[in-house]
Amino acid sequence: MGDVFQHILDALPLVFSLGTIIAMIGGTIIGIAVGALPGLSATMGIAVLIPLTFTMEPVVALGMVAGIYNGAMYGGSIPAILLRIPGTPAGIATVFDGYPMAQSGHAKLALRISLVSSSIGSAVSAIALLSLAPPLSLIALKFSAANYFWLAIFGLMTIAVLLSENPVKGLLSACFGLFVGMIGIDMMTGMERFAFNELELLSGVNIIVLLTGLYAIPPAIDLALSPKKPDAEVKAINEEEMAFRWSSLIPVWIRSSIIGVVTGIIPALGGNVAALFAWNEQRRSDADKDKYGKGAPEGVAAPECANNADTAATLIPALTLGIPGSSVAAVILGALLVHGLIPGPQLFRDKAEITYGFMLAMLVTSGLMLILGSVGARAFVNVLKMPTQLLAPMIFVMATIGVFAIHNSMFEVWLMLGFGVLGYAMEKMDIPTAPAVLAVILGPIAEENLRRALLISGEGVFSLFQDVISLLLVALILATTALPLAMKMWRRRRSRIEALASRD
Amino acid sequence: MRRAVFESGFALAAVVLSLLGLLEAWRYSGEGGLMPRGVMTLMLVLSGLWLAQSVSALRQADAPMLAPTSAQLRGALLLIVAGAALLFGMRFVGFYTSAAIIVPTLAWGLGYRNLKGLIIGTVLFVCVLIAVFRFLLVVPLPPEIILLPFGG
Repeated sequence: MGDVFQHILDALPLVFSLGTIIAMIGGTIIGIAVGALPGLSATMGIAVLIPLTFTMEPVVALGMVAGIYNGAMYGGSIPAILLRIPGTPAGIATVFDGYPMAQSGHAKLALRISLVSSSIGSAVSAIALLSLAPPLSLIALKFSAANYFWLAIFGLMTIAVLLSENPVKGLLSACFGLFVGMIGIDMMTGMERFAFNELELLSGVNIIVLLTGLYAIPPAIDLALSPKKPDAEVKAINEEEMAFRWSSLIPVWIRSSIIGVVTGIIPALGGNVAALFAWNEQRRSDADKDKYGKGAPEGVAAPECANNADTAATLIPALTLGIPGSSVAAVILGALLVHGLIPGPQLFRDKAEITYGFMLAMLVTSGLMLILGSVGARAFVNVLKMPTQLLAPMIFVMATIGVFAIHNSMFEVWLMLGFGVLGYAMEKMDIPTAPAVLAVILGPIAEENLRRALLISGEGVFSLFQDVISLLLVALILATTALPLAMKMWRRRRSRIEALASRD
Repeated sequence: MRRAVFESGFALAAVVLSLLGLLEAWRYSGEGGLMPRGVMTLMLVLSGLWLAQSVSALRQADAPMLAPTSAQLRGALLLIVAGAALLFGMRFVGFYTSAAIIVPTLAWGLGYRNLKGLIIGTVLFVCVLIAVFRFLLVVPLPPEIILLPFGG
C-alpha cells in the first residue's frame, strides 16, 4: 500500500502540469459532446482522437482519453433526460425516470442529479482503480463459463420481467434482441446464421444501429406528430426547481457505486448493464416501487452513478491482466500500447508514473466533469424550449449521420430506420425496448459461455449447476423473476375476487 | 381502430416470423444451432401467448382505442417522404446540402411557421454538423455537389 501512495505522489506533478490540465478539460468537453450526440459513443470518440495524441506526452494524451471516457458516460444522460434519446447505450436506464422528470418541469434538477451522481460514480471508480486494481482483478478470474452464462441470464430475465407490466411482452422483446444478437457469422463455428446471404449482415448488427433505431427515432416521431408546445409549458422550464434533499441520495450512490465497480471488473458486461442493474436494484430495494418510471430522482441517480462507476473499474482487468472488459477498454488499451504501456503486473512497476498518472487523470476528470457540466447545464436545458417541429427533423438528420459514420454504410441507415419504426410500434403496444438492447449485448456472452461450459465439462446441462456461484445466481434469478410474477398473479387474483365480492 | 386489433395483427405476424425463424434455425447443425433453436422456440411460444392475450382483449368492451388525427397522419406521411429524400439526397447531392434543405422543409411541413427561427436554427445546426463530423471526427461522407467546383 505504501508503494501505491509513493507512486501516486510521484505522478501528481505530471497530472497537474498545464498541458495535462488543458488536455483533460478538452477531453472532458469533447467527451460530453460525443456522449450527447445519438449514434456516437465513447469508443468512437477515443478511437478517432487517438491519432491526434501520437505526438503528445503519454500522461497528457492519456489525460485526454480519461476526459473523453468519463465525459461521454455523463454526456449520454443529457439527451436521455431531455429528449428520451440515450446518447450512449449506458444511458438507457436514465431515460426511465430522467425523461418523466424533465416532462414534469424538473429538467434542471434531473440534469444536476445526473451530473453529481456521474461525478461521484467516476470518482469512486477511479479510487477503486487506484487502490484495488490487482486484488479486484482476481474476482474476475474466479468466474467460470457457467457463472458467466447465469450472470447474463440473470441480467436479461430481471430486466425483461420487471420492466413490463406484461412479462410475456418483456420476454418477447428480450427474444427479439437475442435473435438480432445471433445475426451474422458464428465466431466459434464460422456458421452463417440469420444473415440470409446478405453480405452486410455477415458481421452482425451493430449495437449503435439498434440503439439509435429503437431509442432516437420513436421520440423523434412523437415530437414531429405532437401538437405545438403551449407557452405555459415552455415557461415552466424556467421555473425554480423543487426543493430536493440531496442526502436522500447517499444510500443510492453507495449501492450504485458498488454495483458499477463490480460490474466493471467482470469482463464484457459494461456500463449499460451496470446502469440497468442499478436502476433495477434501486427499484427493488425501495418500499415505494410505483414511483419508478414516473420521474423518481433516485431512478436517475442510480443508473448514472453506476454507469460512471463502471468506467475506471472496466480498466482494472484491462490494466492488470490485459483483458479488455468492453470495447471502450479495448480502445483505451490500444491508446496505452501506442504510448508504450504494455498491460500486466509489470505495468505498475516499470511505468508506474504514467500508469498512476492515467489513473489519477480518471479521478481528476470526474471533478472536471462536475464543473464543466454545471456550466453547460443551463445551455442544455434550452433544448427543451426548441419547437418540437424543428427539433424532430434535426434528430432524424443527426441519427442518420451518426449511424452512417459507423461504417459508411447506407444499409445500416435503412436498418436503423427499420428498427425505429419497429420501436415506435413496440412503444404503442407497451412492449419495453430495453430488454431487446440488453439481449443484443448479453446474448452473445450467454451463448459463448454456455457452449464453452458444455464443451469443457462434457457432462451436458448438469455442468451448469455444479458450483456455488452458479447455484447462487440461479437462486437470484428465481427470486427476482418468479417471486414478482407470483406476487403479480396473486394480486390480480385478489383484486378479481374483491371485484366479484363488491358486485355481490 | 381498437388497439387490440392492432396488437393481434402484430402478434400474428410475430407467430409467423418466429415459425419461419425456427425453420431456418433447424437448418443450423451442431452446437451453433443450439441457441438459435432455443430462442426461436421460446419466441414462438411467447408470440402464441401474446396472440392469445390480444385475441381475448378483443372481447373486452372497454378496450383502448388508437385514433390518430388527420394532422398526425399527414405528419407521418411527411416523415416518410422526408426520410427517403434525406437518404437519397445524401447520396446524390451530399449530406450537408440535403440536411440544409430537409430540416427547414420538414419543420415547415409539420407546422412551424417562424421563418427567422427556421433560418437561424438550420444554419446553426448545419454548422454544428460540419464542425463535428467534417472537422472533428473527419467522417468521410459522400461529396457535396455544390462544393465540387471548390474541391468538394
